[in-house]
Amino acid sequence: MIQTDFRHAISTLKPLGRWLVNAYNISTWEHDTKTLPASYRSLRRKYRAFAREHLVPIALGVDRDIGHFDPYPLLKKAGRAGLLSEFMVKPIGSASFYGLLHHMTFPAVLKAEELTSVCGGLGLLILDHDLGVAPIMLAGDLFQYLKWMGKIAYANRYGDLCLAAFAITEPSAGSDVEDSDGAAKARLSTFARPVDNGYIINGRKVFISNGGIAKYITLFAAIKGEGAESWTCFLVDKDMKGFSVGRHEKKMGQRASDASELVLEDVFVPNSRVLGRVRSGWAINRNVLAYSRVGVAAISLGIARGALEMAIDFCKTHSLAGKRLMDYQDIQLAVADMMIDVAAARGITWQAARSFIPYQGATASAKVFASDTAYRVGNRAMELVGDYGYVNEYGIEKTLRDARLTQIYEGTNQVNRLALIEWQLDSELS
Amino acid sequence: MSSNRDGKGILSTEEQKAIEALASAFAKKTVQPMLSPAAGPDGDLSKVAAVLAEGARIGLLAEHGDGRPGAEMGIWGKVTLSIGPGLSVGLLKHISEACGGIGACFHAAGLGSLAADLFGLTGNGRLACIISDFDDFHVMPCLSSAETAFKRATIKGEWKGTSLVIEGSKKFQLQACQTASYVLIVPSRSGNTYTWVATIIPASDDRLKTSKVKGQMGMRAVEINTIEIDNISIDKQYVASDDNNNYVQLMYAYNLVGMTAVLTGIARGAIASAFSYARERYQGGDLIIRHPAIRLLIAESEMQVIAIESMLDGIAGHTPNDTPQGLVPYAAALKWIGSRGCVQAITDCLQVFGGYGYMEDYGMEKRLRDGQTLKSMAGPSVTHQHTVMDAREAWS
Repeated sequence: MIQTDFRHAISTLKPLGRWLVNAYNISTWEHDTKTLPASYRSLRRKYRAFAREHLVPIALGVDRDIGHFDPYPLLKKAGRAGLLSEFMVKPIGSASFYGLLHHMTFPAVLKAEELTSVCGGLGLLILDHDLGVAPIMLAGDLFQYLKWMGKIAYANRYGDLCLAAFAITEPSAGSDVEDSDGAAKARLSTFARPVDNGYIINGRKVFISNGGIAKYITLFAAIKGEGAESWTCFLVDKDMKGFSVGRHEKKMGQRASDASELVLEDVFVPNSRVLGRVRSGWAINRNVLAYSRVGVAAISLGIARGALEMAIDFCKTHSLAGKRLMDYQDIQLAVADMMIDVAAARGITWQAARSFIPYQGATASAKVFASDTAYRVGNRAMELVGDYGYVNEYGIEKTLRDARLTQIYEGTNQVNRLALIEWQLDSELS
Repeated sequence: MSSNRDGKGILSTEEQKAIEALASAFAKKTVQPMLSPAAGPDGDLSKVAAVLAEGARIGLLAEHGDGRPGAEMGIWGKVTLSIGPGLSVGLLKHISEACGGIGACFHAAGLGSLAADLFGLTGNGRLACIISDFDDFHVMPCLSSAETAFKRATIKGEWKGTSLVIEGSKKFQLQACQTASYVLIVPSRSGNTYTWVATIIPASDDRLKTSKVKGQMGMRAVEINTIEIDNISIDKQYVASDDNNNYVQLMYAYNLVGMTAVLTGIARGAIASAFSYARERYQGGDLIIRHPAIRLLIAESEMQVIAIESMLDGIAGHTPNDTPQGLVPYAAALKWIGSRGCVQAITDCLQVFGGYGYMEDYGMEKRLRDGQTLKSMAGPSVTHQHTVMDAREAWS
């Protein structure tokens, strides 16, 4: 009613006045999309269309029955649609020229929000590949970039799937490998011993997303007898002798995405597969985290939006005492709070991604804020619908379970807060 | 309101401690073994019936009927009518530290038994208490007159001669497995006279249908059902009246108090686990309990739970002879604030575990699922807000 009155009021203005008022009766999503450059607008629509066509029909079923989920058909569709080759431009890859020239992470942020707004687990399944290949790009070796990235991108677009995974976490070294102070004293368990023409790696990695299905693993190991300062990034092939996949973790949420233990027993990795330089692993790791944390912020944003959309859908289709839930002011107030939360998370996430090269302080802030927002919005959605909230048929409880992981991975939110302080320490906090 | 927290003259402090020790031992020796991660994220649910049977045998689970060990001193046993809910709250917390779902089973069965005692009804075996809901946000019908309640209730009774004919349905009914009968508390009409009434219907009555809610996020040890009642006729000799709405209000308040006690127990279990883990796990060359970030998380959890326990103690000290009308808004406030605080404590404790907390092995994710589920029970949060506001208006 208010909207109608407002429109009527606008219609009484003179042409210039009407032009200066934004009276488009379109969704928040459309409003936000209109603020983007043309190249990103089409990307956002493309990602949303993919998510609606391929993720919506299977999301709840996969979460309920993860044991029978075969991820390859979906990943193949994602590969063909160009969602697994976005670190290399056409014709081999599918990266946005505009994106590569202006903002390295913005397209990934758009992709992450759209996919995870439908399902955090399926979204992560597709997105984790980007994390896996990121060290190849950020190691700074053009030859390796062209060789490996080209091979992987081509396979995903036109051939058989070729997924990558990123392996850093160890059984006794989780948060410390994402924190400078902690890493210096971390109890590392994966080491590379130099031998002729390469290295012999022994150790274990845990919680590796897509670890069980990836062909290549960008894996960090310390040089034998040294600490985290000697970290080196290796491109390990799952078919290498001595490499095996251990237990598959059973997670509370984001269940469609595999999280596995990787076991390395005398795995020989040739020198040609050292990404960047020997002992440059710590720098590569920090750089990857600066990129990937804004990705986690976008995943959180997507999950929060998913919770909001499900709550709205519920309130539009359910009635109490003969009145649609959405028509109660009580509900409207709660929905408005959730919309504001999501808009704020989008603001900080897009802002962090708008730098050509993202920096640690901004991405850590975005990650913390957006993941806390996702959990808060999930909570509000559950509170809004009462008992219906905990029944998986409606999907709302799933968004809360999915959201909870975003406060943990890519460094817990406590570690990310310290990462922000570390980054700004010299410039403004000392 | 009189306070009888220690139940002096009825239950000595030593007796209360002995019963609490029994509950604590039961949680460790009987409930905990059921929760092996190898059996699944919620433990071996096929053992729930045996766990409850053991609880009944040792007198913690209240069942109705002569000679039942828990009928008097078990959770929501008859002694509650004399000393208030303090004893039951304490026992529920002990059991729920191990498993919220099992705690909820004891709560649901005990509440059924208490309702029968309160209304002077005779049951036999394990009971569950069904209080009719409203069909809008004000699902606290007990605060309304019986006439208003009758018009908006989802289950209601109509007097036809000397029989009460009951029909309607109730969603999301919490109950333990093997419930033998339901104590039904509904508004009724006889001509132009409206009254709250209570009666008992056997679960085996073929005009009472139960269907399980499938795919619940947590609390999987307790049953959550939809109950449909198709014109069940009860002779008036089996129907008890509640002319002043006092009993229905009391049952409504105790339901919320019990749920919060279970939540508090879950949070206490989470804190104990996080504390223990923090004293074993190293990060950055030091035990994580020495890291300020971890200390703050555990401290905040502890503070949340201490505050909620204070609220629980405040309510638990009041006996049923106190004014129930005053109890309902306090119980609503307790459920609203207690749920949020406990779930916040649980999620903070999960954070202490980092990635391991999100996996099924450590039981923390189960605690969070259980807590979130229980938080969503008994209506949307706005319901409790309206209850408090309604009471505020009534007081003025």
